[in-house]
Amino acid sequence: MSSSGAGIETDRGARSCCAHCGLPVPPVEVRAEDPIQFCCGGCRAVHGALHSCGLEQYYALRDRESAVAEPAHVTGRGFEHLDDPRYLEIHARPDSSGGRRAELRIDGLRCGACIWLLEAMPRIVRGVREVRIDSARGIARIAWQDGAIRLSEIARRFDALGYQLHSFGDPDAVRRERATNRAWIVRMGVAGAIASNAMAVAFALYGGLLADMDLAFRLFFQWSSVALAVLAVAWPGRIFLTNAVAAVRTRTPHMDVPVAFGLVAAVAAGIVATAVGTGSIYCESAAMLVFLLLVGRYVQYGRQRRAREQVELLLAIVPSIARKVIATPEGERVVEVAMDALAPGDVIDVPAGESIAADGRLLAASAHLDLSHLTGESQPVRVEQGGPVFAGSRVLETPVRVEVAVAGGETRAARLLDLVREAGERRAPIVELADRVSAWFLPVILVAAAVTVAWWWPRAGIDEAMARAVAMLVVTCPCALGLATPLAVVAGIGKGARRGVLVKGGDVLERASHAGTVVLDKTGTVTEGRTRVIRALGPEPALAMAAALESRSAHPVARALVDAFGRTDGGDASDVRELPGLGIEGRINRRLVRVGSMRFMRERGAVVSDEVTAFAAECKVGGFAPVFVSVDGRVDAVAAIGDPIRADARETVSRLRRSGWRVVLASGDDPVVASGVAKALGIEARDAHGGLSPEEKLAFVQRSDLARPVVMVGDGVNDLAALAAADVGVAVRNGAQASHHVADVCLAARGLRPLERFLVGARSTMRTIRVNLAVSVLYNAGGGALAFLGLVNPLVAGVLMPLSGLTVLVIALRMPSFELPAARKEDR
Amino acid sequence: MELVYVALPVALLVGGAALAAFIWAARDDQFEDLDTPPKRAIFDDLEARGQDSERDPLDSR
Repeated sequence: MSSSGAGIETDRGARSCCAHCGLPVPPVEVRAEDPIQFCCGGCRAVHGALHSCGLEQYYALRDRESAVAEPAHVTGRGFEHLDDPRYLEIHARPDSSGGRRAELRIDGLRCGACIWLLEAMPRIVRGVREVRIDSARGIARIAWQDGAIRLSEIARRFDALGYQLHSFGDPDAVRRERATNRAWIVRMGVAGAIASNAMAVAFALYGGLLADMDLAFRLFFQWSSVALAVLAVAWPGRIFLTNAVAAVRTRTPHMDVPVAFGLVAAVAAGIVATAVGTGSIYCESAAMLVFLLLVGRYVQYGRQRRAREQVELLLAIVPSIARKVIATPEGERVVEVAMDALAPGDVIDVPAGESIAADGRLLAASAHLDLSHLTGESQPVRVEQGGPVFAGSRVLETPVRVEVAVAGGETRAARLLDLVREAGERRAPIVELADRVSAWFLPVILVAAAVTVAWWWPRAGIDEAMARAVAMLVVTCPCALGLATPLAVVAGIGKGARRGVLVKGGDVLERASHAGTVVLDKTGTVTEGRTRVIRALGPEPALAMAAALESRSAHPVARALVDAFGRTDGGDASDVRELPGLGIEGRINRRLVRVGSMRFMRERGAVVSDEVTAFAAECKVGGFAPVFVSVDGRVDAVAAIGDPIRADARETVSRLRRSGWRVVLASGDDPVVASGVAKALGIEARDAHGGLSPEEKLAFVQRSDLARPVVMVGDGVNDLAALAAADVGVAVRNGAQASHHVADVCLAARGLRPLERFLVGARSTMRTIRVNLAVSVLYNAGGGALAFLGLVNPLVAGVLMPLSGLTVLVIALRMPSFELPAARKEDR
Repeated sequence: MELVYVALPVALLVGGAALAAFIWAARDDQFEDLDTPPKRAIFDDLEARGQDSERDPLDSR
């Protein structure tokens, strides 16, 4: 930045930090008379609320948690809709002791100190009996005394501390999901208990193999073992039998068919051998198999559950509450209503900084709207009176009124979400590698068992032939095969998570394991998504005055100027006038300062030097917008404003291209801007697409001429449908929350490097799965050969089974890697 | 050696009791949220110490 001369530091707390969140305090917020400073009204309110309740310990606890600094967000809403009897009827039924209990989603949780703070509520708010926070899922369970306090009052208390409560979807669905999870845990625990006991009994039997054991003892141990195995297969293991029956009925290959076959063979052979009194039994292997396979399945289920729960949060882009204006004879009244209760023709009031809850017509003279959620456009859009506005767009600067045209499920945002849901459901499921392997696994074993019988019957008699065939069925049971994929996937997902790459499922890793097409969104993905001053020309005091003037405006250009030059005190502005579409003017220290477009300067007759004109022309070529500053009618300074490309974007694109990916830019922004950015990134001109609506983005990722897999990388709500429809959807850090719910992968670290990390990790995890499958097939082939030769007895089977699982586990934990290859010299 | 006829069922009974306790805990949703309770324990500990001791490590900021 050319304006980085010596700053004019003042002693008016220029460097002070917010007492609540620790971020620097902007000059406009500095209050000289206060001993402590805050960065915004939200933080000030929360700090006051904490101190008045004697909960200052929050700060000490938070410091221990090393939480991310973030200003508090206080909405000041009334939350009256939570007192609606219909809502309470469904979500908070009264209990026997005159209390109610509700479960709500909670926003704003950052660290453990938040949990402590909220769970201390019953101590300071009368009527609140208990608050329990589930930080993993972002849920607050609140119990309160009916009549002593209303739920809306509790929600307002939460809001005053910077946490917002939202009503939940369908409480029955939540309850069902929880019951399923519980059933899985019970199943797994029971299987584990039975397996360990069966192993203990088996050790006695193994001992008997080596030393001579009384027949009576042996039969006793065998019956115990059989009883445990029957219990394991009939209770926790029943799920494999039902799955296998279903798979056979629908003629689809499924892992559970060979599993069920092996389980039934082992238990049946055990019963027969024990009843007859001769032969070996493999019951402990069956019990162990049930346990190990259930562990793998539970891990898969847990991931799916989390993914499902997050989809529910989707609707959060459109506010669930609207402020409806009601005309009464005494005047106007504003009440809060649920979004669904709005009807066409209603008038709603939208405060500055909040999102509009319905599609409609603007009643105010004009307004600047932030549509980046809906369209991805980086610049705010100006809407004139009577112009259309859409649900989910954020109002900047001044509060506005909107006449509702459509609300609820018919808004553009809601239809977009429907599109997302459909796209996600239509995506063709892949047949996972493990299922493809297991598809030929069973026939091979059955043929091998048949060959064993056919070979040994004439040579060793029917009894020996059958014994060897049963040993083969048991010892080749696909325990390692069943664990190979889930273990590798879990290890891969765990390693990725530690590296800031959150992957939601194993199939995602499988899809992204070979090179295809990467589709990049522009705003917020390859660029930082925030308007900033890129370069500036001119004396520092002029720029500082511009910042002082702009600190009165909420326009993004104003923010950028304040961020860049607000550290220096430019003086106090008076007579400030904002001229929509042109700029802003006002007086500072009796000098007339104007900030705005070239048109604004010309209209006011300002003198523009050649140097300034040349700089402005340069800015335009670079794709940035010049903003001019005039002091007393002379243009002294220019600032180039734009959305800078992320520092690591160019290098990542070139590395991806070198490893075989085709990189495409798909932007909702102006085509000229898009091709400029593509050029800067080294993306070919034919692969730069601009001006795409959300629907066109969706169609784009579904185009058949793109090499599969198509990996869509985006951040905004306008990318949602494309994220859901692409083979792999990747949401970048700081993206809209909804994009994180829809995407298969969320990048928690800044920039584009984590994208490459994910692709490298996917390939590495897939390699691990292949190695694991190969190892388990080898184990089974070896075990099968031993069984054919009659060398397998229950002891060998009992050792082979856990040993193969253990090998697969060790490989899974050691192998997958999300490390980027070391940067090579030629990358410069 | 005949002791085994008693010892094995007793062992299974004890194991069964532990299993029953586990199932009760699972049905009580004790495995539902595994992230929050560990943090809670730390806070209880800190709060107790904060009230007891004169020189509270947390007040040193």
